[in-house]
Amino acid sequence: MLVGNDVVDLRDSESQPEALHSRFDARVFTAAEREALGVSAAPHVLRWTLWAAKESAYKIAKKLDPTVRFLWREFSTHPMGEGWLVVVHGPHSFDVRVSRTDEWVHSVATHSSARHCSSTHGSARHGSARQDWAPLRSAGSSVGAGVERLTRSDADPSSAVRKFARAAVGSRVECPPSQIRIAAERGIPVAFWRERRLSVDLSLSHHGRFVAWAYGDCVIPDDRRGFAAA
Amino acid sequence: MTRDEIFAKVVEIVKPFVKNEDALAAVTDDTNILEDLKVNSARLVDIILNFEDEFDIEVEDEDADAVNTVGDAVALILEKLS
Repeated sequence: MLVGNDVVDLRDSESQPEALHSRFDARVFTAAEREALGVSAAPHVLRWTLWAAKESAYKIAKKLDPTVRFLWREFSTHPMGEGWLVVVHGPHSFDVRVSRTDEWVHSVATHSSARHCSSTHGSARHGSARQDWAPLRSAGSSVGAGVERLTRSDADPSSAVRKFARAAVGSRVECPPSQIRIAAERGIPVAFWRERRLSVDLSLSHHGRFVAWAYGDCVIPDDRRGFAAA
Repeated sequence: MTRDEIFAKVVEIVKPFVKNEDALAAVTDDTNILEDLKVNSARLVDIILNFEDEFDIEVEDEDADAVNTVGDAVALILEKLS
């Protein structure tokens, strides 16, 4: 399963309505999206929810076709219920799960059938949250995702998000994070276990005070257990 | 307007959105706006709109997506002004 994610710090100065160009909404959103913004009681939150949904869907679209371009209005969002949207781009549709606190919006997009998965959300504490999509039994797949607040020791958000993603993937494959390495191939994050590429799709993001990650199917190497305790 | 003048104006427009001041101090045509200058992707929208206002040009979405580096932006603006 392919995943894409995006996080927006709702209190970052750059996110505030007064910091945006007056034509930002017209340039980024479809007529239906602008209409929704126009009647929303919380347009600030909705604006970045829609943006994050588009961005997370684009990250998958780019994996499906590296020539795909992020033409903002061509990634149209469609509400599907509380916390769910579908983003349509050409022949593809992407299911997007959105979680929010007062401080951030986090979107996790998956391709195709994930809309029907059940989910359990960790409670947001101290601006952080973990999410674990229940396994999709029919598809034999699952999605994990999380948001963490940067600390003073996290000087570089890119390094910080890799640290958290290593821990998450390591937990999933039952390996210490130190045995997981995350690199980028053509801008797309990939995970390695002891220099062997893991069969897991990753997405990393950061904005303002927060970093976020998501991972899709993760196949545990057959011989992992023999090494894990080493 | 000369190429150097456009380059300087592009850097001036991008500057408020830059997170990596060291990369900005060493900016060249090859400097990637998102990856090197660490500009947030949503801010690229504002940058494109500011290009339109500053140079009195219209930048199509397809053209905007092709702006990866400072040099790409300069080339696009030169093309639009010609």
